[in-house]
Amino acid sequence: MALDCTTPVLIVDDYKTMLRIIRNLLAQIGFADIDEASDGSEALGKMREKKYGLVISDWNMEPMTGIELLREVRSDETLNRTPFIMVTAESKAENVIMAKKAGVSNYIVKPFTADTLKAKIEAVAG
Amino acid sequence: MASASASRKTQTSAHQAAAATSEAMQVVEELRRFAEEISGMRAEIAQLKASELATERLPAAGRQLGQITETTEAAANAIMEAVEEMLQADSADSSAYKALVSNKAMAIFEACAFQDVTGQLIKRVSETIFQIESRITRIADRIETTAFPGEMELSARQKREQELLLNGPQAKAEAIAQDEIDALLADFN
Repeated sequence: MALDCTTPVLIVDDYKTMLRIIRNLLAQIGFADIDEASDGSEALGKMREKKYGLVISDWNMEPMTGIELLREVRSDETLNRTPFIMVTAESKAENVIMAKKAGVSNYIVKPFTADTLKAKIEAVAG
Repeated sequence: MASASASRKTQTSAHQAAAATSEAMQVVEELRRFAEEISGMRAEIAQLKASELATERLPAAGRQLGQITETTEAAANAIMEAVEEMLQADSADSSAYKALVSNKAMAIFEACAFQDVTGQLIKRVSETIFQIESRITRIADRIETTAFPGEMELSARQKREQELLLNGPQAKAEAIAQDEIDALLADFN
């Protein structure tokens, strides 16, 4: 899927600060259509109402975690092609492997830079 | 006469012996109950996993508090450096100045991510404190009661954390860097 500045992006994180940081970094990169959700279940609801070209999600959230959201997205025929980037402080190899097996498009470990975010988005878009 | 006296003496001795035996049996029964109670307490203490607190959770909490200090220090330094560079920049060239301010503002945003990482670490330390509190309460309550719903609730949460790999931010020694994550993903591809 080609990504450009008009692509709707959904960011999912339970920390408002992190949502704000990612939103600002995405805006700086050039994205204009950005929505937010505070956990997996809220994100899933939004994804069923609006077609997003990219999801950027945290892992550790309640009640629905990022890995559970990823599994839901990949098992849903209407959503399963959506690029999904995990942005998380969970930086153990077992987490990366679990996410990859679940179908993650890319994986960013926190704290990260705008350049890393941009590079991963470009990799997903390419 | 002598025979009656001897008979009374025998009866008295028998009563005394019976009383002593009964008393001894009571003592034995009390000791048995006491032993059972000690055995029950040992089992309870074993279930409290005090060694797990001492060898795993408390050292981990210490490391997490250290990580909080390091993370906040790094963020504060990054923010101060960005602000200093903006303050010292030459504003004569307005387009270059605007680009620099924009660049440094991005650096400040990046540094603010510390709040997420430290928030998760503080949550982990709070959980450890809650565990210590609940286990101490359980020891105190052991004598009066057997029910402890708080401990059961925590176990369910621990199970979920294990299944979903909710480890929280890793200590530097355990974490892998972004480059290593990229290599791991590339191996899958």
